Amino acid sequence: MKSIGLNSITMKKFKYWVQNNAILTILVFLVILMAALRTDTFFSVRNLLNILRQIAVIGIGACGMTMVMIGGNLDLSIGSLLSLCMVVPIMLQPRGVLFAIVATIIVGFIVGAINGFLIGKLKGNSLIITFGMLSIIQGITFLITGGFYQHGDPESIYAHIGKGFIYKIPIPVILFIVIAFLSFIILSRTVFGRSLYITGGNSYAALASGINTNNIKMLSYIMLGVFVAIGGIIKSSMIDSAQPTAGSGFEFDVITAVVLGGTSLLGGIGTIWGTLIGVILLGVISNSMVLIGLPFPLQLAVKGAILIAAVYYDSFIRGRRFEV
Amino acid sequence: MENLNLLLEMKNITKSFPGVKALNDANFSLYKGEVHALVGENGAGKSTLIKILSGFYKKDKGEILFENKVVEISNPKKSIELGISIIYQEIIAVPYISVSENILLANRPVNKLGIISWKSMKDKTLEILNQLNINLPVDELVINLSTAQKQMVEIAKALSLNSKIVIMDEPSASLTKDEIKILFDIIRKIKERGVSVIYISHRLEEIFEIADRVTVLRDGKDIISKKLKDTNNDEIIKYMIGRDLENMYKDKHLKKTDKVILEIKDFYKNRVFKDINFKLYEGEILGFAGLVGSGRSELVNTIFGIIKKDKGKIFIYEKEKNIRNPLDAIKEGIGLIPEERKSQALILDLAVDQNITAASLKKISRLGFLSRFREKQLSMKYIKELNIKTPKLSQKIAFLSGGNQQKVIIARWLALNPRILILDEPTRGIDVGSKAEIHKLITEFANKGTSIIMISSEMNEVIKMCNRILVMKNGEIVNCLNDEDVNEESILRSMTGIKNNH
Repeated sequence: MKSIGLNSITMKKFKYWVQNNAILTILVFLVILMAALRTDTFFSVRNLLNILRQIAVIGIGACGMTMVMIGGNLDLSIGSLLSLCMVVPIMLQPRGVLFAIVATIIVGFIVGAINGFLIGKLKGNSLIITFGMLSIIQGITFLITGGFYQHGDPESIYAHIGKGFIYKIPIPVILFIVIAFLSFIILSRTVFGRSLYITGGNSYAALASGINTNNIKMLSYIMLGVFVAIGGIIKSSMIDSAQPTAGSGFEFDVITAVVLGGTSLLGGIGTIWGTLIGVILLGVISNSMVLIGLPFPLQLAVKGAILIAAVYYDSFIRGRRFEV
Repeated sequence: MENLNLLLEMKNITKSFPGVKALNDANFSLYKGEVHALVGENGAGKSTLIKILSGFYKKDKGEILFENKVVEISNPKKSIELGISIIYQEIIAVPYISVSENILLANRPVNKLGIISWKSMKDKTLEILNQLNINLPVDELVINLSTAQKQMVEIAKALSLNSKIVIMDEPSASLTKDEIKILFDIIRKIKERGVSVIYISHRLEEIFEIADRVTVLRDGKDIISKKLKDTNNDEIIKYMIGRDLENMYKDKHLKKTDKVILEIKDFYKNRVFKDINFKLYEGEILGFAGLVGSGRSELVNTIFGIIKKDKGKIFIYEKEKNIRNPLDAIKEGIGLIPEERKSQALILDLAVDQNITAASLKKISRLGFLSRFREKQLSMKYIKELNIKTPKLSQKIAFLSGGNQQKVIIARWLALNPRILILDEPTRGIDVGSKAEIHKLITEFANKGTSIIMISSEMNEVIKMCNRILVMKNGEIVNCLNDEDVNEESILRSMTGIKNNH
C-alpha cells in the first residue's frame, strides 16, 4: 500500500515548519477560513484598512512591551497610560499641535521612568508596581478631566495623524511600521538590546558580566512609555476625542499579542517579528468575531481564552527548548 | 548472636548520575544501639548513601535489609515509616512555629473532633525533652533558638516519631565545644534506648569520642569498617586517601614571581567569613580548599563585587581599590567563573557566540551598535583556542555538553584578558576528558602570566593544579600550605582538625 507523498522529505520539512511556526500557521488558517466564510466583507478594502488601523496602536504598544518582557518584567499600567496620553493631547490641542504632541511624549517618558525606577533601582516586583501605577495614573486622568469626555477639533492638523494617508497607506500604519522596524534594530543590533536579552535570560550572569541591569530595565520601561504615548496620540486623533477610560483593557490586548508572538513571560526570549504576527493574529481574530456577529460578551470570553492558551503555549515552548 | 542486633544492612549499593558513579557496590551495616561514624572525602558517596536511606534517591542496584527483612525505600515517607530520621547540616525546622509544634509536627495529639489539644502537646513535649535531659522553652518560636537548640528540636522530633535510626549529617559543624558536649550526652541517652545513630563528620577527634564503629567510603565504595578502638587517626586518613600519590605532580605549574598582585586585608562579613587575609602572587595558581559551607564562594563573590562586605580592603599592586560591583572588578582586570554554571553563568536562551561575548559587548560594538563581524571573529577565536565542540556559532548553548558549556564560560572571561581570574569549582560535574582539557588550559593561562585563584572541593584537582593552598573552614582560613607541604594528608588534616597559624 502506497501512502502518497506522506513520507517524503518535503512532507517532513513541512510538518517541522508547522510545529515551529504554530502561530503563523493558525493565522494563515484563520485568514483562509474568513475568506471562505465572509469573502466580501473580510477582504473589502474598508475592512482591511480597519484591521490595520486597530492593529497599529496595539502594535506600537506591543513593540515596547516586547522589550520590557524580554528584560524579564511586565507592565500592567499601559492601559491607563494610554487614556492619559489620549486626554492630554486633546486637552492641549488648542495651545498648538506640536506642543500637544511633545507634551504627551514627555508624559509617556516620565511615567516610564517612574516605573523603571521603582522596578529597576528599587527592585520592586514589576507585576505589583505597575498594577498600582495603573490605578494611580487612572486617578490622575480623572483628576485632570474631571471625569469628562474630551472633545478635539476635527478640522485641526492633529486629526490628520489618525485619519490621514501617505501614498494610500494610513499614517498610523506607517508609524507602526517605523516603530516596529526601529524596535527590531534596537533589539537585534544594539548593545542595549543584547543587554536586555542577557538581563532577562539570566540576571545574575548579566550582573557578573558587568551589565547595569537596573539601567537596562529602566530604559525598557521608558521606551514602552514613549511608544504608548505615541499610540495615545494616534488613537485620540482617530476619533477626535478622548474618554478618560478609553485605554482600559489595552494592556490585556498588548500582552496577549506579545505572548502569542512567542515572547516569554519569564524573559530572555522574544522577537519583533513574532510580536508582529501575534498582533496581526489578534487583530484578525477580533475583526472576524465582529464580522460573524459574535455577541460582545462572547468576544471578551474568547479573548480571555486566547490569553490563557497563549500562556500555556509559552510554558510548553519553554519546556521544549531544554529538551536535549 | 550478633545478627539479632543487626538493624540495617545495605548490600552492594550502586547509584549513578549522568557522568558520575556516586556509589559503586557499596556496603554498610548498622547494629541496634550503636553510634556508627561514616567518613570519607567530598564526593566519596556519603551523602548519596544517606539520601538513599532517607528515600530521596532510589538505588540503581543492591539490596537493603531492615530488621532482617528486604525493604524498598521508595520515598521519604516510607523511610520515616521504617523509623529512619535524618538531621541535616542545615536545620529544616519550621521557623515560625513553636518548639512543641515542631517536635510533634507529624503526630499532634487530637481529640475526637480532630481538634489539637494544646495541653497534651505541651505535656508530651516536656516528656520527650525530659527523657533526653534537654532544657528548652517549649513555647518559644524556633527561629529565636540558637543552632544548637534547633538541632535538639530536630533530635527530639526524631524521637517523637519513635525513630530507630537517627542520621546526623555534620551535626557539630556549627556548635561550640560546650554545645557539642551536650549533643554527645543526648546521643548517649538515645543510644541507651536502643536507637542507632549514623554520624557523618570530618572531625576525627569527635568520632573517636562518640562513635562505636567507623566506615570509610572512598570513590563510592566502602573501604573498611572497624571498631574505633581497633584503629587510629592516621589509619583512617590513610584509608580515606588510599591513592597512589606518585603520579599527581605531572605538568605542575611552577611559575610564580615575588610580586604581590592582589592582597585581601581583614575581610569580614557577619556570619559568613571573618579575619580573611591573604596575598596572591603574580602568575601563581592559588587554591582554596575546604568543605561545602566554608565560605569560599561567598568570599570570592565578595571580592568580585557581587556581594557586599561588612569590612575589608582590597589592594591591587599595592594600590587600594574600591570594588562596589562587578563592573568595577572587571575594570580592574578581575574575572570570575561562578560555581553554579546553569543558574549563574549560562544564558541558556542564547547561542554559543552570544554567551562568549556577553561580557565583551563594548569590545564588539561601535557607538552602541553591535558588529556581527566582530562578534563572529571573537567567538571563533576562542572556539578554536579552547577546542569548544559545537556544530555552529548560533547553536543554542543549552544543547552543548557540560564540559563545552564550561569552556564557553571560560572563553567569556578570557575575552577580557583578565590579570586575575577566579574559578569557583571549574570542573564540577564535567566528564573526565573535558576536565583534563580545562586543567591544561588553566595551567596555560597561568604560564602566560594570569594570576589564578581556584576553589575546588576535589583533592586531586587542588593538589595537581595549585602552587599554594589555603584551607577554609567555617568562614576562616585555617591553614596555608606551600608547594612542598601540599598533599592530600595535610589538606585533610586541616579540614578535619585543629587550626594552624598561617
